[in-house]
Amino acid sequence: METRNYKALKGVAFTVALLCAVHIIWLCAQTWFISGMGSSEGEINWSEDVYPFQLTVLLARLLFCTAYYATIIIFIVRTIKGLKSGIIFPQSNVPLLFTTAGCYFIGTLMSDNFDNILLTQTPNATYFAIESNTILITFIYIIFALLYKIAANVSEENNLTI
Amino acid sequence: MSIIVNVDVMLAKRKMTSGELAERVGITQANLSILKTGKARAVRFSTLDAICRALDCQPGDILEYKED
Repeated sequence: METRNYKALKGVAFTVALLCAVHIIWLCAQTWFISGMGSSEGEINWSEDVYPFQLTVLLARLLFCTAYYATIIIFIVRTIKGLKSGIIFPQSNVPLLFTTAGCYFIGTLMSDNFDNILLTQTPNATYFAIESNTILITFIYIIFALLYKIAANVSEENNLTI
Repeated sequence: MSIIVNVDVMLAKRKMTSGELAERVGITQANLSILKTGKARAVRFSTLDAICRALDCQPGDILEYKED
């Protein structure tokens, strides 16, 4: 790979990884403040009727959104490591991309419903509303993961062509 | 796979080392090892041509088909 392309890819990758790390910190801090002391976005109105549901949404949002950004960081680290050793599409990234798609779907689902379930004045929602964008972007992630899988196989085959 | 690579046999017949062959063919020793151990998925015609030239043999002397 050309040095210029490698440097550009490395630069972008580091920026994305940094943004993801900042997002994780922000998400943890936000969950801490919002569940404890309240924040500019409003306080959680705990309701005894739907308390387990509210708690599940709060924790699932933190868990899956953090996992989503973490998988992106791992993807970038593996890509950079692979590039150093001459592997453009590491096989280990394939299952990771499917995990990213799953985490994105659940994390976004929780985030989209966060206000309705936790921050509203009279919380009584016991259902999730799914936005079409969430489904669409999840499918795009899955398509990307499948294409990556094909690319990884072709790359491996190419490496074993003498 | 049912294709067997007999590079080792030819190397012994020609009294040539793997390193020498790799150098003459223009491939790395690691790639030659992949070929010898049967891990290769494909062989380029250009590589086959270079191996045959270096070992002074026919493709059939290097590659053999054996039913599983």
